[in-house]
Amino acid sequence: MPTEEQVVEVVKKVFDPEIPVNIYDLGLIYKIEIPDDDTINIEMSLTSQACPAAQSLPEDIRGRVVGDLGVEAVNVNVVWDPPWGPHLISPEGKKILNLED
Amino acid sequence: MRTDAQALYEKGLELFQEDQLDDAEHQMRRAIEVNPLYEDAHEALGVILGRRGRIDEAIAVTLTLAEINPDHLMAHVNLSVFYNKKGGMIEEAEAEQAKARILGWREELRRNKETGMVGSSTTIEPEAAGAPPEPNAAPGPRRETFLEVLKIDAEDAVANFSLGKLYLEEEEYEQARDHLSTVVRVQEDYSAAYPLLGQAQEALGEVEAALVTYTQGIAVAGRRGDLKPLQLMEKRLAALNSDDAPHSNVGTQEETKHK
Repeated sequence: MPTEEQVVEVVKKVFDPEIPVNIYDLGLIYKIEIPDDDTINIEMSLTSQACPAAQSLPEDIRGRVVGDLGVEAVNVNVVWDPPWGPHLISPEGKKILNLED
Repeated sequence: MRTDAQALYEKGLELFQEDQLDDAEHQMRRAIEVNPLYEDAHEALGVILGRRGRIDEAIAVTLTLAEINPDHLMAHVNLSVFYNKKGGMIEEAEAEQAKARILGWREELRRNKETGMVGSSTTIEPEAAGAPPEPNAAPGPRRETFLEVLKIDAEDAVANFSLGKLYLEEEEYEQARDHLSTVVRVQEDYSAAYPLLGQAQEALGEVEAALVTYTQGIAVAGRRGDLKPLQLMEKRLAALNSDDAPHSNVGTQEETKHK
């Protein structure tokens, strides 16, 4: 059964286009649930509803997790509540983006 | 105390609002001659040149602004718009948009720190070149700026695009659709508007209209070499044309196990 840490490590390989910080450190991943050996549920948001990556990011994440962890069912649900804001970016992400903490 | 450059800038702003673009441009250039580092005048001149269709000149002036102040948010917003308008510079446009996003986040964090707020109900993503900056204007959402532009010119493509995008983010799909429809009507080659218009139409359940929008948008983006909107629309068109394509709200992708 994959662990949440393993899922996080895989998700950290996915990037919002043009932003040099992975989506985990951007604070876009709200929840990771692993109810059984063959299922991973991920709840995430996006920086904006009109973001061009709205269509492709969930697919990218699913493909990466399926491929890297060999899990059959990976469900990625995009939510808008709570709304994402830059306060959710990790300290490492803020450092990369040169944002004040 | 107003300087000569400020007086010239403010005069230029008045002339811009009266749609006297030739004279407005002249005033802004004079302001820059007096103060070559005058950021607002550079920004305004770029907007005026963009409005006059002199995109290469608009880009050059705005690049100068970005050199004067690399953290000038509207410089990167406007460059993104100008690169889109020029066509075939989608990567450059996206890079500038990304810079603008990050600078917008920095502003938001700074505001949160000043007000003691954590988080924000809306993420402000300032977009296209609208009106030139008001002198001594306080930073804040650009919606009011774009609405002011529309009072002067209801069919301003850039202001309509920006508002359409803002409304789409806030799930005000009818308003988004109306503004973005105006964009493609007055400026057929505004390729970035088509995928967003399609999203709004899908969200309203206007699937047939979305199909037409994506089809037209694909032709426009293909002609201009704008790959990103082209790919987005091709994907949506394929999804809508498939037998079991979900016609649900765009922006919430609730996935289920594959059959």
